[in-house]
Amino acid sequence: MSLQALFDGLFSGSIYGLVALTLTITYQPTRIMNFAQGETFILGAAVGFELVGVHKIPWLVGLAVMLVLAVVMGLIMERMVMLPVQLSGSRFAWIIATLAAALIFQAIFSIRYVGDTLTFFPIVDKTFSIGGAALSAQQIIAIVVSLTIIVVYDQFLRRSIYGRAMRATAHNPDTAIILGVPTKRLVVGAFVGSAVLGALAGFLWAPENFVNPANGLAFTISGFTAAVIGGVGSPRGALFGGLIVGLLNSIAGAIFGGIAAGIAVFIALGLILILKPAGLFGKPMDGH
Amino acid sequence: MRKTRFAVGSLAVAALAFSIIPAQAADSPGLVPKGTWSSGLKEITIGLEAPMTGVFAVLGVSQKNSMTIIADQINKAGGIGGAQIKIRELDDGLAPAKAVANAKEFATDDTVKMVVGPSITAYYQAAAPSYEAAKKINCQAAVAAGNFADYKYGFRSQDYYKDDINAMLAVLQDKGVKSFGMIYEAGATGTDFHTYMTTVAQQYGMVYIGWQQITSTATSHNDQVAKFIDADAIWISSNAYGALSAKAAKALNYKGLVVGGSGLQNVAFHDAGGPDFAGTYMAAPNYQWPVRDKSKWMPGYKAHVDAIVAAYGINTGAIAGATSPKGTALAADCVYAYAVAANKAQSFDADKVAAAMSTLDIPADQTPSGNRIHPGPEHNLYQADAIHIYKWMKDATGWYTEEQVKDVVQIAKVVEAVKASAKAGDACSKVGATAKSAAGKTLKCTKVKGKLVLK
Repeated sequence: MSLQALFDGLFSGSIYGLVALTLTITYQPTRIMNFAQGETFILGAAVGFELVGVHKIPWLVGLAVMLVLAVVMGLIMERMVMLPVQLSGSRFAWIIATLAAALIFQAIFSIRYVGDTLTFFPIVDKTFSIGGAALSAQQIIAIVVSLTIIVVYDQFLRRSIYGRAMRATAHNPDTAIILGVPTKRLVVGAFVGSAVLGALAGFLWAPENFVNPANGLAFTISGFTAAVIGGVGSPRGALFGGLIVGLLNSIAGAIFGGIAAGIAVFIALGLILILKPAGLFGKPMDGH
Repeated sequence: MRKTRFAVGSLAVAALAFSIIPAQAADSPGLVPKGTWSSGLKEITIGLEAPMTGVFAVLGVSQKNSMTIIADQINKAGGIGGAQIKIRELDDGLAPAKAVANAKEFATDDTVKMVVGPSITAYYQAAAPSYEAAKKINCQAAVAAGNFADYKYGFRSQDYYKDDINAMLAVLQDKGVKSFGMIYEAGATGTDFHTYMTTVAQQYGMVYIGWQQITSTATSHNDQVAKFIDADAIWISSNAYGALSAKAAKALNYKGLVVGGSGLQNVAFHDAGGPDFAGTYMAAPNYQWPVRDKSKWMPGYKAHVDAIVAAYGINTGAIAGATSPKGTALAADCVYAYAVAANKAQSFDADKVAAAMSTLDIPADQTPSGNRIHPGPEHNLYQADAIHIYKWMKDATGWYTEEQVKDVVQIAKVVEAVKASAKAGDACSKVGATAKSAAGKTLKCTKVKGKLVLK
């Protein structure tokens, strides 16, 4: 195993972990796996491309604008997903609603950015050579920011009153309502929070990589795989699931070639589902 | 005596080299083909089967832009045989089953006279039997591999990968390159590249180190570049994902040359490699967009690109500021060549148009792409002489290219040597053509079970 594969795996793994966390945040109060989550990732990359890349606006301003737009997107997405779910009696309505939202956002991004590969200047344009392997400042920032967010969210869930309310809603929404928990507001907050973090993931990723405006679903799938491996509903699971997906992709690719990378990840997913169906850190209660 | 032998040998090679550069072009349709014949039809359809949505939508949209521009120009000049051209697109989203289904739909529609697409060699090979069965003329602007001599109604308007490799390796040999490796997507095209590089590298005095396979899900190519860090050159994929190889070369401070095919005109590569992308070599059919003195542009190319920019604009890289027009002239060549062939045949009959299209010889200054169109029996609109080697450069004004001189005599020698190492069963392009085996035995191109092979 090369040091280079380790660095690349840590970078992509921490971003996948962040995407997995965004899926977890919406899943907890709604029990909906939001397949449109990857579109928030594209929003982050697109805003960075448009403002920081094309218009050369300082990245801090770009980041601020991106956060505001992500809040708006989160509010819109909540209505796009929850309204059909509430109006329809079908227990499968969420699948159609989230996929429809994903396709609508994908079409919007594709029309706006056809021919563009979304990337922009890194926050710090510096690359370090460690043991012959390259590690960029952007990768380090992305790893530190992602891991910090996941750890902070984990503590938020466990220690804050809102976190407890979130867990109570995840466990039993009806009881939570009786106990005075504003579940509807929590749901809106979950969509907004996951949109903001999803967009941040795209904003951190795009300077280091290239984001295709129509590729949101691919990031959802990577995040979903990470969430399932780690245990749906667990922030710690999202972190470790993300790192497993990223490192396996990178290391298997380096040793056995590109095709092996995808196979290795799905073999790991299969093994986890057989040996630990709730995921590495998942508990039946989290998964509810 | 020795000198005489050398002179005679050189003359033979030179004659061989010039024999691959055809003589004067026979057709002269002008920038917009016009026909004085009457087809009796008011409208014909030209189909475009392409990804119009999804990750590769840029390909379909660029093709549609260029086809629409040339179709509008032809329509204004009276159409083909009085019939106006309508471009109709079917979107496959780059899904293979959808691509083949769309191709079948076009194949069985009598109002559709010619089809562009599906892209990607494997998809085309799955769709081609439907076109052949329905006698549907088709022209492929994004199918690099495969042998089009196998098809009666199929034509290719893309640079042939073997021509790209020969032109590039000839230039690299002049630059003193002794070893190179390739980073390319796993798949049929990568396999074809790998096989041909393995065959010809030694002929150019180089060691081909091997192929590092990548996939679209890779997030970095650092590891792949690290494996070739001591090589004199690395051939990277033309696909936009190949930009990660350019980025990795920059990150690892790779000292050798980065080279590749025509896809390296995509602004993503400049963004990825940054200023270090300067010095990269690109094998491509005529691409004069980065040539600042527009008076040097081919007239047909200039007319087409100016129209594209006016109608659809340009792509601009967010980081490095490189630009490219939002169209692909190679797709416009398909419509242009079809119009010239139909005018020549004075018919929309597929057999007559296919025959006329095979014998076209249109000079480079008239075609939308700026490449000479002369398909011949191989059904490749462009031959080896259309391939240029460009070196990407950057100064305070921006990006530009410097064209490199390729040694056509050396290329001809290699092509001949490869032919001389032919084996029974190898694919060939024309019934009756001959090739020599390493043992000196003459092999003849014969059709066996619908395929042309040496026997």
